[in-house]
Amino acid sequence: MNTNSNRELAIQISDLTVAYEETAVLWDIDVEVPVGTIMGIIGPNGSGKTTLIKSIMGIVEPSAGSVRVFGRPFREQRRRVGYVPQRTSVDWDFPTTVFDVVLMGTYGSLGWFRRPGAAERDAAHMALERVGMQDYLKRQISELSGGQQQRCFLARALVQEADIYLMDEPFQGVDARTEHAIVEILREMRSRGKTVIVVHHDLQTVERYFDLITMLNVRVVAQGPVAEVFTEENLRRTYGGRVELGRV
Amino acid sequence: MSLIPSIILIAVTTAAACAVPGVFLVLRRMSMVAEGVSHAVFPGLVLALLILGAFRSPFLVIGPAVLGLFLVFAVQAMNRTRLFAGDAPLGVVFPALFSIGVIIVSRRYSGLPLSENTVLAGDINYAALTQLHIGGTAIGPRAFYVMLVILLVNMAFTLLFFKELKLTTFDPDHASSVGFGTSRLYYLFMATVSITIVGAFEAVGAVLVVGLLVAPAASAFLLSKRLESMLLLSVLFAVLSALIGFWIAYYLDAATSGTMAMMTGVIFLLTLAFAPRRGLLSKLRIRARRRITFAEQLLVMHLIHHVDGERVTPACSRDGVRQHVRWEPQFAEKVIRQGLEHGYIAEADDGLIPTMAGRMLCSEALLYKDDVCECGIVRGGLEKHEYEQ
Amino acid sequence: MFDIVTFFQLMFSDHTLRVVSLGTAMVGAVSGVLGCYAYLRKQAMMGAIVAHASLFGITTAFLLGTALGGSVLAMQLVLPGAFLGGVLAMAFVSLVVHTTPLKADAAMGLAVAIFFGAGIALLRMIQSLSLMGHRGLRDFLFGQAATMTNADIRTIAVLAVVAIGISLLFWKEFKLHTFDRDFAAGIGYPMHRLDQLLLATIVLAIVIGLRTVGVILIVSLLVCPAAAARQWTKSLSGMAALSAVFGLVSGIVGATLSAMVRNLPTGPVIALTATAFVFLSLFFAPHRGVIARALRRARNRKHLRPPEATLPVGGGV
Repeated sequence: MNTNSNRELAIQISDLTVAYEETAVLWDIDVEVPVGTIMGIIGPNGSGKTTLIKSIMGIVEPSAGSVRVFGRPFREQRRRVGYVPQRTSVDWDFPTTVFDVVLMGTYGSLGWFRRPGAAERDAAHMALERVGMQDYLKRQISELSGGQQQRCFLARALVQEADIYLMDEPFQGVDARTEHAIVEILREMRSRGKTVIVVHHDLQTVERYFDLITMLNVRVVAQGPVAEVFTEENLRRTYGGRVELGRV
Repeated sequence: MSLIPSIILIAVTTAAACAVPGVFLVLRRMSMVAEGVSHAVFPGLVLALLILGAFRSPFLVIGPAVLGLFLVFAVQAMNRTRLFAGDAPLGVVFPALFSIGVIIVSRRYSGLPLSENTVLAGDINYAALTQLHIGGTAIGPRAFYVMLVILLVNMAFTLLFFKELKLTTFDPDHASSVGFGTSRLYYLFMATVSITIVGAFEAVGAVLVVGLLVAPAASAFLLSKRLESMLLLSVLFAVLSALIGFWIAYYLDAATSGTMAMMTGVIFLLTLAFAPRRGLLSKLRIRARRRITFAEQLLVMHLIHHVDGERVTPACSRDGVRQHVRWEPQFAEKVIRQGLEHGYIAEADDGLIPTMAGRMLCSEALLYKDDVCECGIVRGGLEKHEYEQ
Repeated sequence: MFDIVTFFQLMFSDHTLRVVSLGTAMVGAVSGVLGCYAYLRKQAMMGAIVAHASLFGITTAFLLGTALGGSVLAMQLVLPGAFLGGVLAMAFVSLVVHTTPLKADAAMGLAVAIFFGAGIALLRMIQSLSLMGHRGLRDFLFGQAATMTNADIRTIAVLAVVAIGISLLFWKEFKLHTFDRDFAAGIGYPMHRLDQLLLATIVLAIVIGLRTVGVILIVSLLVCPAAAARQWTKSLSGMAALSAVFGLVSGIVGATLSAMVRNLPTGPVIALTATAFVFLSLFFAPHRGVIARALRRARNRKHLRPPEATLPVGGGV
């Protein structure tokens, strides 16, 4: 994959294999993400998309291979990576407010035992404004719609002030307005030199949203600029026989 | 009938009667509902004893069992409000009902054959003393006949609804929900569970019965592939626990119910350690073997990935492998040696290349774990240059 | 038999009762706070099983203490023993869940068989040996506050400070860990360590209450105040504070009532008071409560507005 070899790499994954109990979920993955791009990861259910994100974040221990963030191990660069987990991975009936969830984004830089102060609160307010949720800050999170929940998660990631953002299905179950707003924020982030990686499942919007795409099915089937690799042939390989695409 | 055979008869029938519904409790993930029911029936038992005087009437079994169903309804109603997280409704309702029982016992314990010990552990010796008489001759302990009837009822229920039980237990659509849903069969089943628990109270008390319900079935689960054999094994383990437990209690002067429950647990621990497929030892063995095989596959995958046609690249050298794959040097050496021995890889000028056998190994690996990827990935994924632009 | 005036007279005049109430109040408050985590982690029944299993630790420690140094040592070892018994049961459940296809509920049932079974067998042995001090163990079954000594209260106070201290010190870590594991792991929290610390603190809270509420009913004091408090607030700190108050009141009511009425064990009264808080909250909580929701629905129907999307998500077995 030499398309972007002249640009600095935000993330470089080489020979990454992840297995649960000796059953591989990801086989020998190579992925390179240049700085300042938006990359989509697509693939069928169980193809290892979420596992890929989690192993970049060090949440899942790989069996082999390495992940480097700006040329160094993730552990040393933790603060430079922001994370939006799958919305459905948490209990939305947890007793907390929108503002409180966004403040959680500052916990990483706060370190142990310290409580968020005025600076952290200001950052949280700004992030909520950016996602258009400033009127909801006192709202109990169980009362949010899917789109609002996702904005709330996005604001929490923005507070992390990272250079790379990893997002797991941010458009899953959100309204069209929220989807549009999120895409706008992603583009604005890119223009400020941030790098964004998005696990995605809606093939219709791939060409509009992403610069680069990784097509995943346990192995990397194809990777590169959307215009080059997002082909019918690659889709068939990625999704096997059951690609149900009106588009292609 | 003399005391010791009486005790053994009660212990064996009680354990066996619990082991049958236990199978479905374990499979349907309802063990904790049984834990709740076993506490919830207690105030009913106390009231029934107050009203009816002693462990004599069949109402003593059916009356309190109603409270077990009440718990099931109450917990479902609380869940429906969606105001509580997880299993909290169960944790709220069963202690409350149990408390009512304890308060009644402590307020009016005059005349009630219930000590704290009986409540917690039953009193199998006392139960053995109450003999059933026909025409003036003692024909054995009453509790034995009660549990025998309950055992027969449980067996009849299981046989009668075997198909339905099997279906609702293994139907994937139901697998995610706890219980059988709200079907009539579910309530009927919970009724038999409640009756079993109430019947077992005299011999094993309010708490240990959960162990007798769950543990034999759990051991059987680790050993069987079919529902039929799981049922048989569960009953077998229960009877075994009852017999061994009785002798331990007899020699140590301990509580029979406690040692019985403990034995069901010991049998489980033994199964957990030694079961042929699902046991820990065999798992460790399989894993150790899988670990090397997996590492070999990984090595071949790596080489397939990096080999350029039939020529090696720097990543295929021994150093390159170590660097890319990030294994400990000794482990990498071991895997490479094994791979060479098995003929999955071959030594080339400046490194290693995958052989045809190696490529086969990996295609098998991909096919093997394949519930996600279909033919496309195996064909497309095997050789990198095939899909690389 | 009981009236509110006597209640307060007793509260303020009877020295023993004041001391005992102080003890049960602390027990209630600690269970209230740590119960919030057990509740939010959806491990209510785990609390019940840990409490049951602690009987194994209690009896083993008692036997060991008697063998090594007599009845004084035996009673001193009981609480550490209960703690280890609880931790052991948790470790067992986790082992079974992680190494077999069995689910947590079966693993918990097995823990009852093994640990409570062994505990009961040992308890009967201790009783038939008539070991010195074995009557003291009875208080751990259904809880008896009235026989608490000043030393018991001091022990409770120290352990309560430890448990509350840990939960305050790791407040934001525990919160994030409970709410969003993936995110917490992503920003570098050591998930296993935090898990172990939080679970150990919950076991500690259970152990503190064993003497007053007993191995069967302590689960009530762990779950009920938290389940009740959840209905009234929208923040974890509010929930924990309110839950502590509910637990504290349950403890005081239990101790006082059982002191006033003959043959009334403390544990069940505390458990029933705590349960009453749950049902009061279920119906009367201002926003989430059943009545508030019914009123809101009725109003919405009248104004022909679409219903608000305020149903909480999740929950439910």
